[in-house]
Formats: sequence, C-alpha cells, structure tokens
Amino acid sequence: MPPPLTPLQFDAVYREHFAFVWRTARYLGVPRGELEDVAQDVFLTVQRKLSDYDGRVSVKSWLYGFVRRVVADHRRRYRRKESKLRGAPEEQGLDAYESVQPTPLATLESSEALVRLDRVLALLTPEKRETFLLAELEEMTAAEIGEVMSANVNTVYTRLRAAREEISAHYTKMFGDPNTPGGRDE
Amino acid sequence: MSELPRGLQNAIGASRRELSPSETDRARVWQRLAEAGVQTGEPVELGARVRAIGDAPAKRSGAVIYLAAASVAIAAGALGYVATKRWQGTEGSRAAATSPYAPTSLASVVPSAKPSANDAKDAGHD
Repeated sequence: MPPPLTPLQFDAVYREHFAFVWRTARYLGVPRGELEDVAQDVFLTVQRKLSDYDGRVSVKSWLYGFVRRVVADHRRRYRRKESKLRGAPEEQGLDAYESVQPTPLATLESSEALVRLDRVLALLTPEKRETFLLAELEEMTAAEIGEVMSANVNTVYTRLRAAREEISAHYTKMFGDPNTPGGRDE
Repeated sequence: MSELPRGLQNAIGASRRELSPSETDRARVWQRLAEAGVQTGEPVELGARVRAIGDAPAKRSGAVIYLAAASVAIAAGALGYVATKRWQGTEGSRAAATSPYAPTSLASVVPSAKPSANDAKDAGHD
C-alpha cells in the first residue's frame, strides 16, 4: 500500500520549495533579472495543477518539471523577441532550447567560488551537468533525479559518478588540489 | 564514489548560498502571485491517487465510518435472517406437526423406488 499522502497546500509548497525553484531556474540559465517572471509563472502553474498531484513522484521532481517547461517557454519567447528585432528566423521547440546548452551560472555577478564552479561545469555534457547540480547542490536523490530526467536510477548513478570524476579532474587541473602540498586552491 | 576536492566542495556550498533567493525575492514573487489572483491558504482538493480509500486521513476516517456502518448493517441483516429462519423453523415444525396433511413418516414422503421384500410377500398373499 502506498504511504499516506498529506494534501498539498499552496502556501506550504511555496514556503518549502521557492528557493529550489529559484535556484534551479538559475542553473538552467535564466538571467537574474528575469527570475521573478519565471518563478511567478512556475507557481501560477503549480496553483493550477495542485489538485493533480498524486504523490507518484516527489514534490521536488514534480516542481522541477514545471521549472523546465517554464524556462523553455521563457527562452522561446525571448528568442522570438530577439529574432524579431534582428530579423533572423526563430528557433523552434524545446530542442532549440536544449541545444543552446546555457552556461550554468553564467549570468551571475558571482563570487570566485561561483566562477570556478561555472568554469568546470561548462565542461560537462548537459546531462551530466544537470545530474551533478541536482545531486550536489539540491541534494536530490538518484530516484528523484531519475524521475525528472526520465532516466533509470543506474543511469543516474553512472552519470553522477562520471560527472564527479570529470569535474574533480578539471577542477584540480585548473585550480590545483588543495589536499596536496602546493595546491593552488586556498 | 570519489570524493570531491575540498575547494570544489566549498565552491558548491558557496554557490548554493549565492544562488538562493533573498527574503525580498520571495516576498516580491508572493506579492505578484497575489496580484495575479492566486488564492492562498486554502486546502486543495486531493489528487486522484489520494482520492482512493485509505490514502488521505480525512477520506480515510470517512471510509472507516462508512465501512463500520456497512459492517453493522450486514451483521444486523445476517442476525435477522438467522432469527427469522429459526423462528420459521420452529413455527414450521409446530405447524407441520399439527397439520392434517403432515406426513407420518419419511417413507411416505420419499417412496422407495424398489418394492421391498415385504411388499412382494404382501403382493403374493393378495
């Protein structure tokens, strides 16, 4: 029998997951100045769909699906506006958005740590980068990541292991290993 | 799984803090939602799976009450049925015993298909 499900309340979802929605929108490349629009659209969708939540996936996974869609729509609108200004043909659909591979954290006026993380994350494939960010920054479980990325748990573990190894190697190469004498970091 | 370099771990922690929204961000979006007509603070009807008996506490208690009432009704019905049958059995026996049509023995109700040896003997005497 499935575990009892507590009914979702909009206030509680907003209170507990606003930061998650905000951060993940930023990982997906939404500029700081447009985050409020994106967050608003995500929670408008949440309010509309709240009664559809059936507990088959975690609330985080459920929300992340909305974040991805809203960010994709947002990018499409943004491109349409831009292409109209430039007179260039617009790109279509989610694929166009995925193909852009936005540099994570790129638009941030950020600290040294962020700049470093951004530089090494940019070297990963989109799937590995997303897996790494969700696991390490959002502390989502492999099952949750599998839900949002439509991948099985073994694939998630494989991607995460590869991402960690690659990112560690890149980081050490670029900034030195603080655990060894002569490391350039800190 | 391999451990991340310490510098990278620090970078992740710092990034998480840096990327998190401020209270002002949170309040501003909340305000925008309110202006967009979002009703907040109201319990929301449960999803399809929750509607199944036994998932949601409110629904579950309703279901328990319903099941209890149904059980009582079934038990009462069963008791009533048994009592009626017993009463009918008693009355039936009494009525049967006093009826002029009451069979005197089982043999008269279920005649033997084969004539008995006595029957044959009697027939012979006749």
